[in-house]
Amino acid sequence: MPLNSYAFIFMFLPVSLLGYYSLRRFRAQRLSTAWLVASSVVLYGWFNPLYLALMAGSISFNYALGAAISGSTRMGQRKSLLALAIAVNLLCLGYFKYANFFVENVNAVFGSDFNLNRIILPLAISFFTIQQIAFLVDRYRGQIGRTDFLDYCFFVTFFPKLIAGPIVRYGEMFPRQDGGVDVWLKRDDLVVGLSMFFIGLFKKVIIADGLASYVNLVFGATGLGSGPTLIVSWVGAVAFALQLYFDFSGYSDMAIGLGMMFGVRLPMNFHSPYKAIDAVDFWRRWHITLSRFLRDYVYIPLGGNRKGPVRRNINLMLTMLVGGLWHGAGWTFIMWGALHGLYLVISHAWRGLQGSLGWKAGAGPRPLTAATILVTFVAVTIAWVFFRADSVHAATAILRGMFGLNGVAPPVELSLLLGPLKEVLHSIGFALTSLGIAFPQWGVTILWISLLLMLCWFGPNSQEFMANYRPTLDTFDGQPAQSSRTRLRWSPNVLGAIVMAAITVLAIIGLTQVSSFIYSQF
Amino acid sequence: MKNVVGARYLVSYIGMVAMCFVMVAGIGYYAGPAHLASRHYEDGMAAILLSGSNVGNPGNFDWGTFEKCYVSELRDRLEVVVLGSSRSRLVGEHLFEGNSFFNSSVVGGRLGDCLAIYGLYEGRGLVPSVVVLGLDPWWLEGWDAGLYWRSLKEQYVSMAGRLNLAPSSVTIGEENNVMRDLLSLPYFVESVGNLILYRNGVPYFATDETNYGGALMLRDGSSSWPEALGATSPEQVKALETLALTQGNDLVGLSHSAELDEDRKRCLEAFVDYLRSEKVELVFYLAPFHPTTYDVLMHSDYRSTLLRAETYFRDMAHDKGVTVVGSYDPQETSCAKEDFFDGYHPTVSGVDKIFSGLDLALLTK
Repeated sequence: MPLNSYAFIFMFLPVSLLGYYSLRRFRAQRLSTAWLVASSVVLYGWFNPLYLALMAGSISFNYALGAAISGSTRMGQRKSLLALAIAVNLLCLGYFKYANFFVENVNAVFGSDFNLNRIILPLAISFFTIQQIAFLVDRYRGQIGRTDFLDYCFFVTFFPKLIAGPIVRYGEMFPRQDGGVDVWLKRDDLVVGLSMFFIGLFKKVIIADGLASYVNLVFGATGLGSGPTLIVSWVGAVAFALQLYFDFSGYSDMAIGLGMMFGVRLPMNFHSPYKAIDAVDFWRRWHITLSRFLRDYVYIPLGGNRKGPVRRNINLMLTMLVGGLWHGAGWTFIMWGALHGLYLVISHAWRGLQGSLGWKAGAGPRPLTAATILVTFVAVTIAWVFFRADSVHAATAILRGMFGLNGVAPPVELSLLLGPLKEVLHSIGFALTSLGIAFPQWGVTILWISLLLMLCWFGPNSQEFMANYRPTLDTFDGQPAQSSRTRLRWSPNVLGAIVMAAITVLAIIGLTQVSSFIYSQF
Repeated sequence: MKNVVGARYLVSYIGMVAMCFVMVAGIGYYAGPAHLASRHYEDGMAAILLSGSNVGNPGNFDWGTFEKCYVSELRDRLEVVVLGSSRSRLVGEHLFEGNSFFNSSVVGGRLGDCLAIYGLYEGRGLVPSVVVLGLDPWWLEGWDAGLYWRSLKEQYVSMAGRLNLAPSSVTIGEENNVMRDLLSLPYFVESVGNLILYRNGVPYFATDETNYGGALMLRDGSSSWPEALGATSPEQVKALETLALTQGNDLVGLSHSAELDEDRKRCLEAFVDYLRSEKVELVFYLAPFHPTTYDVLMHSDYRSTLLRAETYFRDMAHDKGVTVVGSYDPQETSCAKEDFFDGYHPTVSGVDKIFSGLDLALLTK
C-alpha cells in the first residue's frame, strides 16, 4: 500500500495509530510493538504477499546470525560468521537485483544465449538488506548488546521507513519512546508528525509529480532517438533534478512524520542538497543515511583516507561505484556512481587548494561560494542524466543536447511567448524550429522550475521549517535544530494552521492520480 | 511531558482543513468545467449554433448534454448526421453539399455515446437519412469508456433495449463520481483558471469568423482547431507516440489484446442492423492515423488489434452493404503527413481527400 494513497491515509494510518495508542494506554508495551510489526507486515504484504516470505527469511536468518556472532567468543569464528552472513545477504540481493543484468552482459560480451526468466525485484530489498548488514557489522563490533526478536522485527519492518528509508541503525530505533507511556496521546508528536507527513506528501504530489510529465516527455522521447536541443535538454535535466529531490525528500519527510506519530525519531535524510558547495558537501546533504552507510561500511573498511591521497581517491571511486550499483543494475547507475566518485576526488583536490589559500570550505568570498554552489548543482544535474536515462545511449543524447551539440534553437512552442523577440532571435541566427518534442506548457514549466530552484537555493528545508519541534533524531552537522537562519518557521498558531491546512488539502486533492515514489524501485 | 501544541491549534487546523475542502468544492461547483452551478452552459452553445453562428473557444463542457440541448431545439430532420469521436470532428457539411447536416461526434466518443446520441434524434422523430459512423479500433475493446452517454442515460438504455442487447453488453465502466472530481487537483486548477479568466462565467462567444486563431465549433457541429495546438511535425508525432508506447500508456485506450471483444462486436452489429432496418443509409468512416503514428503502431504490440479491427469493420460493411470511406492506413487514403493535425486527427484537407470518392447521390437517393 503506497504511503501516497487514500487507503493509507484514511484507513491504514488511523487504524494503526488507534491500535498502537490503545495498547500503550494499557501499558502493553510489547503488544504495541507487536501491533506495529503486524501493521508493517500488512502494509508490505499489500504490495505482494509473496515478498513477505523473502522478508521473513531474511529477518530470521540475520537475527540468528547476529545472535551467533554475539554469542561467539572466538574472534576467528565471529569473523567467519559475519563474512557468511554478509555473503548470503549480498548473494540474495545480487540474485534479485543483478542476475538479469549479469546475464545480459555475459551474453553481450560472449555472444551467448543464456536466458533467465525475468526476476522481479522485491520491494525495498535494497533497503532492508543493507540495514541488516549494518546491524550484523555493529553486532560484530560489539556496538549492539542483547537483542530481542520482536524488537529486531520492529527495527527491520517499521513501515514508515521500510520502503525507501531513511536507512536506520539498530541503536537509533531504541529506546524509541522518550517516556510518557501512560499518556493517552502525545499531541505534539502527533501534530508535528502529521505536519511533516503532509509537507512530504505535498512535495511529492504537487511538486515532484507536477514535474514528471515534462521529465518523462524529454527523457522518453530522447530514449527513442530524438535529439533534444540545448534548452530542451537543460530544462529536462534540471526538471529531473528537482523532481527527484522533491520526490525522495518528500518521502523522507513523510517517513519522519509517520515515525514521530508513533514516537520514533528517524534520522535526517536530506538537508538542502542543492545548496552544497562541492560534491563532498553534497553527499553530506543528499540521502544522508545512505552516505553514512557507504562511509561507515564501505569507504572506511576500504581504508578511507588513512593511506594517502591516491588510495583515498581510489577508495572514493570504489565507494561511489558501489553506491551507483546499489541504486540499480545498469550501466547508467554505474556511470552515475563513477561520475560522483570523480566529483568527490575533484572536490577533495579543490578543498586542498582552498586550504593552501587559507580558506575554509564554503567560507571564501561570497561570489565564489555562489559560483561553487552553481557549479556543484550543474555537475550533479549532469550526473542525474545517467540516473534517469533508460540507457547510456539516451543519456548521451541528452548530454549532447546540454552541451549544444544538437543545436541551440529554442523550442518553437516558446515562440508564442516571445512575441517580437522571436524576430530578433531569428535575425541573429536562432531559428525557431520544431524540436521533436511538443510541450504546450513550456512557459509554465520554465517558470515553475525557476521558482523551485529559488526555493531550493534560498528557502528553508522541511527540517528548518519545523525546527522549533526537532522532527528528526539528529541535526545537520550536529548544530542545534534552531540555529538555522531562516525566519520561515512553522508555529502552532492561526497562521501555522492556515499554512498547514492549505498544504494538507492540496496534497490530498493531488492524490487523485497516484504515482509511485522514484526510490521505491530501488 | 507537557504538550506545547495547544488544543486551540488543533481546532484551528481541523477547522481550516474543513474550510479549505469546502472552498475547493465550492470553486469547483461554481466555476468548474462541469458547470454544475449552471446547466445553461451547453444550452447557450446550442442556441448559438442553431442561430447560424459559430461558437468561439467552446471550452470544456459535457458533450452529451450539449447534444441533448442541440437536438431538443432542432426543428427539422437532418439528412446527414456524423457520429463518432474526435477523429470525426473535422467532417464538415461541405462534404455533403446540398444536404442538411450536423456533426454529432463527441470528443472521446465510443459506441455507447453513438447509440445514445442517435437515440436523441430518434426520440424526437428526426431520424436522419444518412449516418456517418466514425469507427475507432478501440471501440472493439472489452470495455466502453464513453463518458457522455451517462448524460444521456435514458436514451442509451432505451436504444440498448431496442437493439435487444444483453445486460453484459451495456454494463459499462463506473459512474462518474462528482465528489471525487470536485476534490481533485486538475479540476480545482481548471476551476480557478475559469474563475480568473471568465468573469461572466462562460469562455465561449458567438462569432461568424471561421479562422480567428482559437478553437471553434462551427455551425455544422464540426470543429476547427488552431494549428498551434497541434503536433504537426513527424518528429513531434513520433516522439509523442513512441513515448506513449514506451511508458506503457494506452494509445487512446487501445490495448495490446489481440482479440476483439464479442460483446462490443454484437453491440455494433445490432446497431448497424437497426439503422438498416430504419432505412438509414450508413457510411463507415475509418479515419487514418498520421503516417508516423501508423508506422509506430505497426511496429508495436498494437499491430494485431489495429489490423483485426479494420478487417472486421470492412467485412461487416461488405456483408451488410455499408459504404466504407478511409482506412487506418494513411497510404490507402492518399493522406500525406501535412494532412494531419497530430498523430490521430486528419485535418480538413485530409478529410476532403478521404471523402472525395464518396458517391453522395447513391447515399441520399
